[in-house]
Amino acid sequence: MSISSHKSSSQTHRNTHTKADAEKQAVVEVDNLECMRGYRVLFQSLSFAIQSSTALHIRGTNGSGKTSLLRILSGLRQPEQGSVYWNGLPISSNRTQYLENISYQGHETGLKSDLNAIENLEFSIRMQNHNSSFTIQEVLEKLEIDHVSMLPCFALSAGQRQRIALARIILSGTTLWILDEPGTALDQTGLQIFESIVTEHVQNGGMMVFTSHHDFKLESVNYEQLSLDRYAVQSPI
Amino acid sequence: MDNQRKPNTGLLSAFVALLKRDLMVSYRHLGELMHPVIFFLIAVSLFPLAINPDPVFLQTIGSGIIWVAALLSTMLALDNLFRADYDDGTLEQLLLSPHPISVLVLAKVIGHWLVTGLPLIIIAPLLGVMLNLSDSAYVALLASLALGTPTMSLIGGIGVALTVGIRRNGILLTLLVMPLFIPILIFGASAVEAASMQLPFSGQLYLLAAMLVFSLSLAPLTIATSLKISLN
Repeated sequence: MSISSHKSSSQTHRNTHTKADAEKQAVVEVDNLECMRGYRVLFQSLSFAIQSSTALHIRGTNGSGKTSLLRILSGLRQPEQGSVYWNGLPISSNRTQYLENISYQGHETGLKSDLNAIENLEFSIRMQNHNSSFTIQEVLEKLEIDHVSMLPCFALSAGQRQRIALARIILSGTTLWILDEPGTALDQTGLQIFESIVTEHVQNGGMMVFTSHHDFKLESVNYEQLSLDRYAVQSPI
Repeated sequence: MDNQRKPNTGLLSAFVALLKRDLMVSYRHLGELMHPVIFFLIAVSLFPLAINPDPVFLQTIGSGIIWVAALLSTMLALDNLFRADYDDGTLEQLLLSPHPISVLVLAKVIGHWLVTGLPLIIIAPLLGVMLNLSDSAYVALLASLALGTPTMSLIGGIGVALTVGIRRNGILLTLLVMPLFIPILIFGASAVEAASMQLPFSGQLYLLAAMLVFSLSLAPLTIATSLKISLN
């Protein structure tokens, strides 16, 4: 029941960064999770843990429950069985504390299409308790979308919207990023920017759980993979 | 635009930000915003044409017509309360905010009422003139609508929150909330009718106020829970 470790570089030597020192105990534990859709069990007896400075890539065939798992991790979905723990406390009873530390992005970008990038980002900053030390302008420049920041989101391409959604994640300044297919709609440059952002986040003691059919180049970080197909339940019929 | 690191921006700031965003989005959809108001106008103005334009007759049915039209127009606008947010993923983000969801949904309901309920109150006196409402009835009309429409938005919000995850929810939503709107309709219309006959109408208003306070205190909690269930 362990995670198939792709590259098991030691985590003990990564605590040189200041953020990592403060949050080195941050850990997400998943215990004996079971998820059902309708009458079908998607996965069962799923247990794993994510430490600081780790990127966990959830793999699995279409319909294997990747999105459901991420929604359970974010607390949006209740598992049929099992619990998720943040630093040893179940997230269901420590909702506020947990949500202050995570960012989630599902299939939808979570942007209002009538507002422009800056209005959308200012809004999401004010909905959070904590912010990153970056300014909106800095993040938009980093993602190379500062030239369209005054256009309403409906006028932007899917890739540009995806980049704004990533800007929202960066600006949240949270420890755990839960991203569902973050690479979708991103072009080659976009993917490279995404990889560098993720690398920086994870090296600074952050955590990321994501699903993707794309192989990201995350060599310099502790990168683990988990295949949901191993936890799939054979249909009795 | 230039946000410095703010350690705790607080619940009030989130509440105001959400209200402001919703009003901004509504403002950029002015055409859509006018639908319920135009429906209200058309529905009320068709009655004299179809039934009887006699001023004395209109005076007797006027209060009922205005209240029924206000109820239907609120009903028409309800689904937009969470539909767009559900579709673009911002509702998910709302539920993932560390702030209490019940307070945040109250901001959403207030924002929705400001663009759907308030315009009805503003144009209702005009329609009152059209229906030859007696002079003494205007205060009761405005007061009953001011108490009744927010109650309908709050109660309707529960129905919308429960059905937002269902693709084609039109008739289900109506079936869920319509019975709960009936008391508001009865007391609202009866307040206006009593006032037009120079009778005291404070009893009806007190009852409407009680319903508003009751739904204001409990509906946000119910809406928050219903949304969590709908997005599960």
